[in-house]
Amino acid sequence: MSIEEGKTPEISGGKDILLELVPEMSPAEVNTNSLPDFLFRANGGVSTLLSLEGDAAYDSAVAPPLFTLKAADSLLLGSPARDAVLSSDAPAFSFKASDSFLLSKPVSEPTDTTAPPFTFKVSESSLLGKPEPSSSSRPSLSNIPPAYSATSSRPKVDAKLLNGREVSFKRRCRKQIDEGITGMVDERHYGVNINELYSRLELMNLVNEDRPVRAKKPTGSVLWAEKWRPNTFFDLVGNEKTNRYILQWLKQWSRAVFGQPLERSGKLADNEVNPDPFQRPRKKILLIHGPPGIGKTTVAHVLSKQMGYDIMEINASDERSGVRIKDKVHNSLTSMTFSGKPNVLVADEVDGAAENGFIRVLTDLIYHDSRAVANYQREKSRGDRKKQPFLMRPIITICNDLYAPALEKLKPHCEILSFKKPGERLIRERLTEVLRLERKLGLFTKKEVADVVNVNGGDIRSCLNYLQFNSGDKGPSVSQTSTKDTQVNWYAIVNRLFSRNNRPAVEQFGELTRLIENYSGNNYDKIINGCFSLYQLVYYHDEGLRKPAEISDWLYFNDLLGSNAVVSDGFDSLSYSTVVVLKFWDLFSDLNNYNSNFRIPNLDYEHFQAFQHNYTLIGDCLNSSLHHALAFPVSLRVLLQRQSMSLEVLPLVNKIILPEFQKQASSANRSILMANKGNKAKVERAAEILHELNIEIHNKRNIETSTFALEFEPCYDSVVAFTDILEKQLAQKKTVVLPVLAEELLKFTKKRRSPAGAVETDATTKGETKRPKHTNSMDFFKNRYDELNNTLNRDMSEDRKRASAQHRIWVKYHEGFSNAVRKNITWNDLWEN
Amino acid sequence: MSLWVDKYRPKSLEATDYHPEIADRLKALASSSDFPHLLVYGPPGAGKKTRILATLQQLYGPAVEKMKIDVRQFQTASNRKLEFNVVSSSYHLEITPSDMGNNDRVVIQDLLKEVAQTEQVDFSGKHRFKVVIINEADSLTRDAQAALRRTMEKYSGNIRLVLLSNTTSNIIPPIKSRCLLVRVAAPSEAEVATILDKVCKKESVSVVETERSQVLQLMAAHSGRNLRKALLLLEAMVMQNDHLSLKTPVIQLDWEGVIRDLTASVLKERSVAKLQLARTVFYELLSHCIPAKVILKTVCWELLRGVQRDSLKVEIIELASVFDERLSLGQKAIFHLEGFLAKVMVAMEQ
Repeated sequence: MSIEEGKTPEISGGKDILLELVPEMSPAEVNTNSLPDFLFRANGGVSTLLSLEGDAAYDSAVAPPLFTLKAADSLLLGSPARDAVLSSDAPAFSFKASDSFLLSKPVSEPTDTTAPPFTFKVSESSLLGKPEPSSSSRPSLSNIPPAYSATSSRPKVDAKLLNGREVSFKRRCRKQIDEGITGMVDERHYGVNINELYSRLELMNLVNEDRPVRAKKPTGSVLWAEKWRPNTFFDLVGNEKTNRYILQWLKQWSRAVFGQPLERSGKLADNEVNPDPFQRPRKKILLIHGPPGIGKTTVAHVLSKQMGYDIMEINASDERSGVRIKDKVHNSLTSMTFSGKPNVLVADEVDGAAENGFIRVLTDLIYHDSRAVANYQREKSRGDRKKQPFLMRPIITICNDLYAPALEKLKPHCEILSFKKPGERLIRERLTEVLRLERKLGLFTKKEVADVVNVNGGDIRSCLNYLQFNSGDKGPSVSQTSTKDTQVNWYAIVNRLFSRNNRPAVEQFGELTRLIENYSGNNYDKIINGCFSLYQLVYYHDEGLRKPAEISDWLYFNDLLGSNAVVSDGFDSLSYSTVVVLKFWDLFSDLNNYNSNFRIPNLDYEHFQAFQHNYTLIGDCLNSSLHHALAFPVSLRVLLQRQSMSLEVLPLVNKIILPEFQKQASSANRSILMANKGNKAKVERAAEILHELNIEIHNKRNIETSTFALEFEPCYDSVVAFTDILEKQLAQKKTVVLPVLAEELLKFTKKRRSPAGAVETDATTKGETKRPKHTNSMDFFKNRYDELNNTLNRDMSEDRKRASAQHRIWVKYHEGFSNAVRKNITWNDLWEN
Repeated sequence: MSLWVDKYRPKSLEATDYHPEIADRLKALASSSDFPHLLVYGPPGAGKKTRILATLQQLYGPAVEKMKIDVRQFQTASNRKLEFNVVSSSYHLEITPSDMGNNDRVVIQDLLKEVAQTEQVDFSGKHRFKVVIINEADSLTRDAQAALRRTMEKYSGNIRLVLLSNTTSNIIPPIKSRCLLVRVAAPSEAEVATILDKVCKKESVSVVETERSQVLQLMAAHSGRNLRKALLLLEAMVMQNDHLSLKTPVIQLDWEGVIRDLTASVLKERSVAKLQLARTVFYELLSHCIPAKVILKTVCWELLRGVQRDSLKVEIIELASVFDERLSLGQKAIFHLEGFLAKVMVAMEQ
């Protein structure tokens, strides 16, 4: 089909429309290199074919032409959906009604006065859409008069659907522009003019810049919370003491990091000498915890900057699985930044669930450091401190939840600092200041600012956010807006439970009840365990021990509820646990505990770990598994139960394997020791038992002192010994006894293994004498072997022969699990029945 | 050579040193053609297992002594794999299902059925059945015991069960009614002393001759009529000293010492500080795998020794029994141990 001047375009398909391109300018103008604006028009002239956003930016002078008519005789329509090619054979192109499309810029200048292949119409109305067709020479249609001049004066002929319906097209401006560039590449326009591309890019930027203007909020583009983040020490709000403490802590690193001599301020200088070679603080990691939005991160940043560090921040957004983070941490702790400042490692948000790998990296660091320090102290004279893996940079970790399980391992190495919410007055002052600087002060009354602080519960960040986004137009009043949905942590509740104020008890009780019932976790075990751990440490009034005695009944009640829940799925009874929680308040709350923030000891966890260790140790004696053999002999094992192991067997066995020597023989000299007959017998006996119980003696490294010492393996001391004093006594005794014992054990095992051990066959148990067959068959083969050897090497030298006689044959017999019975039967047994 | 506990274990029923009537009875049972299910109960260290092993010897001959240990795998309903140790000879099988906690039912069902459904392939064996020994039967869960019930009847042709427990109170009545109950009481102190004497002679332990009986008596008393403990104690004493006399200190176990120290300080003074101390001690004991009930009992006895007033003694015993129940019903041992001590302190103050 072809488009002819002034004719109604033909429709290629039911939904397709044929379009006419209408130049707005005369060809003369076209010739002056300013591309003509064209309008795509559908039938009625009302609907816009192309709507272009950001038309303000549209300048015909620099505008990228949106259509291309190539110099070649085909028109390429780049559309996301398809391409339409207008060629000489089919000089029509059609669009789908829904198409968004794109035409590329003409490559040849539209100075060509030859007739365009189709009719263009001048649009009188200035509509949004400004598509630009360009002309190209169409030799085949050259007889048609120049269209530009002709169409400009001609009445419009609208393109319309066959049924006469008008269809409007919408096109996405952004896409069009993007593809204005990429589209060209796609079309293999390798000879694209770079300047052209640039100008197009510039325009794109212009458009992008201007476009959001409409949607933009009248406020500044930076969040206030970021904008007004404190930058210096003096800007910080609240927690002055803690801040100063952090500063001191960082200061203590100065010697290690900067090599500055440490001035000993009176407060820090303890009487005892800091054993650290660099006078670093005792705990090498600082752990800051506190509720969100009160400036923990800010403080860490500000103070580190103040002390001349650069900050290497690792937060929850970073990949923190062990291996990947390890290099990162090590690099940051050993190198300088480009600015020449040392790094401080700020690990933000370490209380996440998946932090175990990261925590391990940190604890490893501490461990290596402590070993390095120990080494250093031992070899002070040599003083080879460069090579030791000392931790030379401060590490600050930040978390919300101090009691997160991930942190349990880290906490012992940390200087723990609690951040509290700054006072309401301080926050109010800061907010007012911010409002004044933002020139928004008039929008809020004093009371409203106070309300904002209250509603957000002292969370400054959230306060700032609130003020920023409600300062545009007076939104709903503060009291109407929803309060920040605070999640109450269990430890906050525990702390709350021990405090009481002057208001009537009923009121406080009601408040607490609501608080506890809103507690998100529906089992109260954590709270109750926390209360239990803490109640002895808080202040309360009591006559004698009446209150602890009373609470024990309630704790029993709670325990019953818990057991009940497990056994019979009675989880609904758990809600009664709140009563127990409130009973703690009733009994142990006191005015003196008001607003104090107790650290809740987690004895439960520590002892659970110790228990687990001992439990498996005992289990290993009694049970074999795929990865370890049974420690105790079976005949002994069947006599023992788990319970008696810890109660009597292991404690006494531990005594048996560590015999006491005669007083005069307490010297470490072995020959003197063994000269005593009693001692010798004891050592031999102990070695026997050690062998029997599969206990070995190994040289083991003591982690704390990093010295080597002999130690039993497995060592049952952890099950047996209780106090440190006893453990020390044990260790002392071991240094005397174990070397002797180890030697004896080695001798014993050697003797045991030698097949010629006549001792063994003599004093064997019944079982062994009862199966002479085995030894016989082995002897039989051995004899045969020897015989054969002898006959073969009859002429061998005498010592060679002796050597071969000494050569032993080992036969290994694997016993599998089988219930089959092995016994001797005769033919008679088989045939008589 | 093994520990004396093992070495001087009587291998046959005739060799047992005390409770001859039990030995006779078991011998009669073993030599008759049939053998009932047994429920053997008695305090630890009384010789339950020894007697059962001797009975097995009587039943099957010395081959039962040839025991080995296997690791078996089981799969729970939730597809968790469990490892479980089985001690077995060709005639018997020994399991400790309480190691599995709540999964003991699976073990009972799977293992026992497997054993019960395979017949003994033995040409000249005296008995067609295998014996399955279940250790610590009192800690079997209800489910496991219920699972046991039917197996005991249905497969009685192929297996006989021997349940070992410290008390019968945790065993459900249907099981009790299917078993022959055998009580093995703890040996008296005199009996313990005699056995110690025997061992001393055999091992030629040097005891001061004039004090011989007193020394052994003292050790027997210290063992609390637990023969296992007595023998271990004797051996430990021998290793620690060259000669045994009345002057040689009897070895005190660390955990007992810790409890003794605690009760002594509580008897002296009662305060929150003492309760705090008690908490750390209790935690320590629990983490050393000392069962909570044993702690409670020991604390109770130690307290009773230091208390003069009879009414107070009664009160302490009452409290101890109350808290013993709480320990059984509840799970948080530390709550109850501390509660017990708090209540005792309150009672003592009055």
